[in-house]
Amino acid sequence: MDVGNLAQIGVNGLLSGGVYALVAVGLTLVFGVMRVINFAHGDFVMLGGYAAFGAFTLLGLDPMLALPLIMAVLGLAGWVFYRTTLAHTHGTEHLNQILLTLGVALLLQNGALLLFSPDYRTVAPTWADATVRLAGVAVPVPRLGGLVVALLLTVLLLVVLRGTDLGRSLRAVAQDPVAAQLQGINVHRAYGWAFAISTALAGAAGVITSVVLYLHPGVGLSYTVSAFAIVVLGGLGSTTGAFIGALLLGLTEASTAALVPSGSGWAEGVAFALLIGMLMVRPQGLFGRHA
Amino acid sequence: MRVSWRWQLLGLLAVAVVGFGLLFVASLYVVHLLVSALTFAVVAISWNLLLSTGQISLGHAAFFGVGAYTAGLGYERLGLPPWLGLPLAAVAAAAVALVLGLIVMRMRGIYLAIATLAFAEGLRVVFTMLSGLTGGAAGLTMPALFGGDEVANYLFAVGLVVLALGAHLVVVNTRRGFAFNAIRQGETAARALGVNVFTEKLYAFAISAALTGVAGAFYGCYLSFIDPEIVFALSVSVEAQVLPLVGGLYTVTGPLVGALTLGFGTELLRETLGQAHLLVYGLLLVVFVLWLPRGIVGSVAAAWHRRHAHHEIQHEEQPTNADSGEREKVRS
Repeated sequence: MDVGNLAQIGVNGLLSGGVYALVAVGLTLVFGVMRVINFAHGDFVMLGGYAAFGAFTLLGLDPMLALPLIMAVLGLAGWVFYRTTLAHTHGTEHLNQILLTLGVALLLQNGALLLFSPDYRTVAPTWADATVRLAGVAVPVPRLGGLVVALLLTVLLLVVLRGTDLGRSLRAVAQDPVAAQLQGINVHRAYGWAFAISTALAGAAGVITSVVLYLHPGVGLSYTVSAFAIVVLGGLGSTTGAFIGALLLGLTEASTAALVPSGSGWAEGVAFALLIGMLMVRPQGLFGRHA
Repeated sequence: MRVSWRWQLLGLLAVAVVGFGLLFVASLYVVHLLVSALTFAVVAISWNLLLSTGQISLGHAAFFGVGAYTAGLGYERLGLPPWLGLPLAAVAAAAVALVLGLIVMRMRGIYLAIATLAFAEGLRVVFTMLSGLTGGAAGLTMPALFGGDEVANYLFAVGLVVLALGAHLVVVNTRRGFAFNAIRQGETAARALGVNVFTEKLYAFAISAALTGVAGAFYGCYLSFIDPEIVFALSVSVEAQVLPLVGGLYTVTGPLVGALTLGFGTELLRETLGQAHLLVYGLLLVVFVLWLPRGIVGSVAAAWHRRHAHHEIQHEEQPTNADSGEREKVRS
């Protein structure tokens, strides 16, 4: 195993971490603001991917051009999801929200199975197979693009959270919904926004995966679990933590796949092991302040 | 609603008698459907038992799978008699639950749910990858119980349901039932009342897992073949929650009612929708959480209670404060 191979593994890991980051940042936003884990989050990734597939095959639209449009549509879908279902369980026991979002996950996943068939699909624009060589390491262009998009959107989210009225209201609701309401913030509106932003980010992740990996109606849950592992790794509710946790998971999976015998099979289990290990050792995560 | 232990025993007997009686009216196909409905009723009952301590598991497939593989590997690798696989499955699943319980003991709510889900999915990967021992993705042939006789298998499934209901009733009727309720309503307060929260939660985990493990072993033998995608499937963990939700969470009979209601439906759906039959489970989860959170048993009981309360008020000219308080509780 020479240095070049190790560098290649590192680059691969970081690049797949970029896709994870987009998924995890959305999940952690909803958790941070609403204290709800959306089990259907990964299925919005899947929907985003199929949207990109549809836009590409039916309209010939390049996935990168379709990205803002798909984010808008998925954001709206997330808002509708929140208003029609989760809004009604606000303040009741966790079990309701778990069962409800799990139900929506099953609905989306199996609805997609009926609509889109269980065939594996990919979106193949002209740049899908392009690579650039940086210091002897092959870097696939779509994955690099995914990492760049993830980085840009995460920075944008941080700017929105820190610098705008919307962001301030989201952070206020996250800290204390009752106090926020007393300041004149519409809590349900804030939750709706948090959900819309979260699913829009999931949609963006879906667009990237449709080019980089593959599409299948059943991929959603594994994204949800991976994203949850990342979010626990980085500290629940921490956006920066989610981004770094995603890169860590990408690196660990890539090195497991490359270095362990029959590692690509074991790589599937890395997220689960990291999740349980982290909850045992440091439940507040790398960047979390409190458990 | 409290029911005296005599009525509870009679109820258990009635389940057994009705289960036996069905043999005389049901076709072999219906008996076959009932076997899987009853198996998942056992899983649902044990999940609901764990829930009564407030612990939400999304990973009951782990216990189901460990049970099935214990029976299968005991027969295949060690040459144990098939029937011995069932108690061994209970022990193995309980042991796994104790390990998992120690890991997740400090977690609650969402954290516990996601950790148990990750645990079950992790075991699926481990059992797939350790193909030298488990047969991996190619699966494992299971020994037949009772020479594969359909009727004997069915009667055994009825027996398992009675056992699981009995276990739940024993818990409900002893101090342990009060301890479980206290833990669900607030661990700190339960601790202050002298409940050993740690032991009680572990106990709930172990007994729930043991029952699910037996169900897994039985189901594996009934299918005569298992692989990790069957017994560690997410759909097993999902079924463990959907059945009690539809039947009635926190009730003793709810999971069985849910399993019997859905048992036939899902089999029909499996034939028409194929893999996508979980679509209906998704729909049921949403509908029941939003509009029927008490499930079938809970809603019927509440309706009966309302009528009963109404009746009493008609008889007594002046309702007392206690009465109206009771009615408030029913409505809320």
